[in-house]
Amino acid sequence: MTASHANDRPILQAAAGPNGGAQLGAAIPAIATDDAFDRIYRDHVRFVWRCVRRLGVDDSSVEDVVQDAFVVVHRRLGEFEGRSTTRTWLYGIVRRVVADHRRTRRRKPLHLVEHPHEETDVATTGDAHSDAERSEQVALMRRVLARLSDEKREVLVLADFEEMTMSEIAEATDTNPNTVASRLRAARREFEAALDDEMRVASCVEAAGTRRSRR
Amino acid sequence: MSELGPRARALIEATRSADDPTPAEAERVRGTIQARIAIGAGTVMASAAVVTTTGNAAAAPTVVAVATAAWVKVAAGVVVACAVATGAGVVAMSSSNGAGATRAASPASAVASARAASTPARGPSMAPVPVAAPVAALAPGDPPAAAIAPSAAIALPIVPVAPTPSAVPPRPQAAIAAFPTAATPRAATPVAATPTAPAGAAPTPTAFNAGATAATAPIALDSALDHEIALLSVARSELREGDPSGALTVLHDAAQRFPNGPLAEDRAAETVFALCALGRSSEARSEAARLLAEHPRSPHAAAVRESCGGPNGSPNP
Repeated sequence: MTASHANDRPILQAAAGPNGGAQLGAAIPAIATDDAFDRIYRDHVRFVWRCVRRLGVDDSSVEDVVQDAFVVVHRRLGEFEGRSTTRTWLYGIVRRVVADHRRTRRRKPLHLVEHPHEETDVATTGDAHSDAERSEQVALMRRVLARLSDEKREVLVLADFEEMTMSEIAEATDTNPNTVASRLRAARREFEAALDDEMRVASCVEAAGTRRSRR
Repeated sequence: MSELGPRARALIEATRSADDPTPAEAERVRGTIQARIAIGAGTVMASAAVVTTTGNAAAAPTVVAVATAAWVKVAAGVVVACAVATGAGVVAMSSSNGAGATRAASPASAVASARAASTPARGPSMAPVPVAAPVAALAPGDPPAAAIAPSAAIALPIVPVAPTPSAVPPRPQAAIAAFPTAATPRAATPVAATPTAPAGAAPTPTAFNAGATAATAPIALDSALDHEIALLSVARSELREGDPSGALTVLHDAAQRFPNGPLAEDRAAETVFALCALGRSSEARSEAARLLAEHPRSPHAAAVRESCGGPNGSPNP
């Protein structure tokens, strides 16, 4: 995306300030950035989508939030100057759109949102047994993530699911790197603890079910 | 850095891509985004024309021309946008040269004239095309101020213009279908121009251009973000057109409607520029300081620092 992006920049910057804006205005970006935008969409829609979901946006709103995020991306394409990676830049937009979405919808804090255990859009493999197992894992992952605070979930998702570096996360979340590091440590501890807990609950439920069926 | 245990790692590994969209979902959302972008981009483009038009409010006897409320401008802009995006896929710029032409009359012909009067061939991708888009006026005859409630969805009739060599065949979802796809060489698409009504002919602000034959479809501008973008666009246009106090009014309005919107940062930057343009540099400085403190890495940071509100800026813009 770099090549065409570099070409777009002067045009788009014209819209950013009063001086450049006097020449062309912001009408042209719609055309000039389409290639760059298409590429970004194609390459990163999955990343954006995952992040939106994992930040806890409920299933019914995921598409709307992804849309909003990309509309902002399109709008800001010319301001992306390669100082960050595309993903850190995109994530910065995603988190703000998600925050905005929560504010406007007056949503419950994320850790209070119940994720339905059975509703997972997992690609099927055709093997009923492994599909069921995978759905169970996804549900478990969501439950565990949902128990983390927003801040910790964010940093853990970026580090361990998206495999971003500390400095990328710091940039993407506009947070001091030391804060990111300590937050990630705490997040991982909590993730482990929550996983333990969920497994214990699951095994109790299973044991209870077994006892019931024996009777 | 403490690492996750093997069980947690295995769980993450197994579910890493579980939240991906399906290809169908990704494609569907892409289509919607494109339609929204078409609206937004056109809004920016058209708002300049509308601002121009309002400058001649006394002379232009049209719904759009007499309207000064920002929201009406936005709405009018969107109407134009849709017509252009739908019919041509080519965005022609209006310029202040078009001011005289806006006296012509209806919103449709006013905008078309403004565009025809603009300087062609702005860049390699801009073919010198006269664009005359049949534009539907917003509820002609209605009082402009009452035309649009800020939070209401705005239904827009869309009229594609006459056929072009690469015209996209009309589909039920007109807005999306008509937005050129990536495969369409939209920048070079010649537009079959409808002759602009001569000044003085003064067609009435009818809803649809008689020459339009294609079906119409409503498109709803119902997203708060679209509204937010539209307002920012109007503010930018006003600033560009040399009306910084008008820009400030719109920015203020937008800030009240969307205090925490995703474009708050962009608005703050525009506010600094507008204040500078008005010579209100101490206000610009405090606005700039707030922006830079909250968003030190803002893409606007450099421009704001260089403005009259920034530490590097000169007192006189």
